[in-house]
Amino acid sequence: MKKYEEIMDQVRVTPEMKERIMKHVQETDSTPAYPPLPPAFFRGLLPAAACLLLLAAGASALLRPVPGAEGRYAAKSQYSRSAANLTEQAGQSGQDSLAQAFSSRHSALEDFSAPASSSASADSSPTLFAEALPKAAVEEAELPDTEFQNAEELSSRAGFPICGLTGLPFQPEEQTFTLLPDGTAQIAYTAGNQCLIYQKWRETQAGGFAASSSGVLAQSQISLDGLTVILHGNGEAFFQALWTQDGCANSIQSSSGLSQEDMLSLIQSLRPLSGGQQ
Amino acid sequence: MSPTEYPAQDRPGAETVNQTAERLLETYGNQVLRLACSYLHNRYDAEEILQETLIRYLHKAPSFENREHERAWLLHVAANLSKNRLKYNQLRRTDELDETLAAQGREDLSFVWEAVKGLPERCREAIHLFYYEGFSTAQIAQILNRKETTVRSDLHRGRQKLKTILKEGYDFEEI
Repeated sequence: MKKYEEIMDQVRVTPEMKERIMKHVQETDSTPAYPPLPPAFFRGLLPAAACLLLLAAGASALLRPVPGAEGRYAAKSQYSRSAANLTEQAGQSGQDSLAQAFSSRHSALEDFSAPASSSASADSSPTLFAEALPKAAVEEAELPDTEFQNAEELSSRAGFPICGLTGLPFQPEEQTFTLLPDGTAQIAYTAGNQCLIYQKWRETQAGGFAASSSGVLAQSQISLDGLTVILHGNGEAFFQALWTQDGCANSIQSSSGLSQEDMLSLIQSLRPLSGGQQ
Repeated sequence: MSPTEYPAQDRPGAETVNQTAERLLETYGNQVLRLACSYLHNRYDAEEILQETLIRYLHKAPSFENREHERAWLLHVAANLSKNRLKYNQLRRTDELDETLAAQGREDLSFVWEAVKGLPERCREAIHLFYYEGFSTAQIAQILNRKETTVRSDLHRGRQKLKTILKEGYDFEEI
């Protein structure tokens, strides 16, 4: 660590750099887009906001059921709802915000770390950090007992079979096999900034996936070899596919979006194991 | 008053834009620059990220309860801006930090820098924020929008890779 510190100590804001930056800041219209409000103002609104969110989530669940999807994806709804809330907080629109909304969904749903792609989304509401950052000093990180060498080991620990995807749209540089604390088995494929995540988990609770829709990405439903697959996309690309089979829910998430054909092809690549062993 | 709380005269609402920019540069400039450099591997691109981060801050004028939140917000924005730049490959190809280390005859540091640069992005950012910035894994999870367990895995993988490459030169566990 000492050597890394020495390296980083070479990188510092010089007086010349500071002068350049200050000059640029002065030349740019950097005045706030709106007057800052004190944190106490937001704290006062929190109870009302929480009530509104509960009402909205309840109304969404009642008014937007997905035929054939009742009882599915309940294990993920808490993550997706929080992602939807983040999206609403950001108040984004347009293509970039769709990508960011998806990025946020994945950030909450699992651990996608796709960077923001629009100027409004490279930052986040400070409420994301409010009350959440502990003041504790550095702690040593221990490897959780959740990562495995291959799909077989992951299947064994998860208690249900999970196999890897084939026919990926990119050549993965790294594959990780993880069992998440909620019992979700996950295989993540990454190459540079591209990421594709396959998750599988047991259906355990009642509830519909409709409540977890962000309302930003369009949802469509298609049949594939007897499966009902729910796709989320923006009309040009699909970022998520969800389906259930043999008591397990499945999800494929793509950071950059896939065509419908590619997404369905990935699902079909799982069929031999899904159909034969589950 | 906690050391992380704002003194009254430093509260963002009481500052002009220039004063805010000066304060941010003085307080967090090096940290933002170094995080950007850890992604982009050159100071010129990192300087632009620092500049853009400040402008985002000034334009958005976010409210924070203390400096720890403010620091986390700035590093979060800088990380996303850096990743955007990587994504669109808008990078200079030179690594003058490497050249500086070589000019200083610090082959040992060059070796470590090359090893860190060779880590997957996910591991590199976790390593930097954990070891250099001193964030907890929970804080890193928030800054990078990841689960804490994933951050721990990234850290573990990063350490393992560094240990393999650096061998006796590995010193990342000494905190």
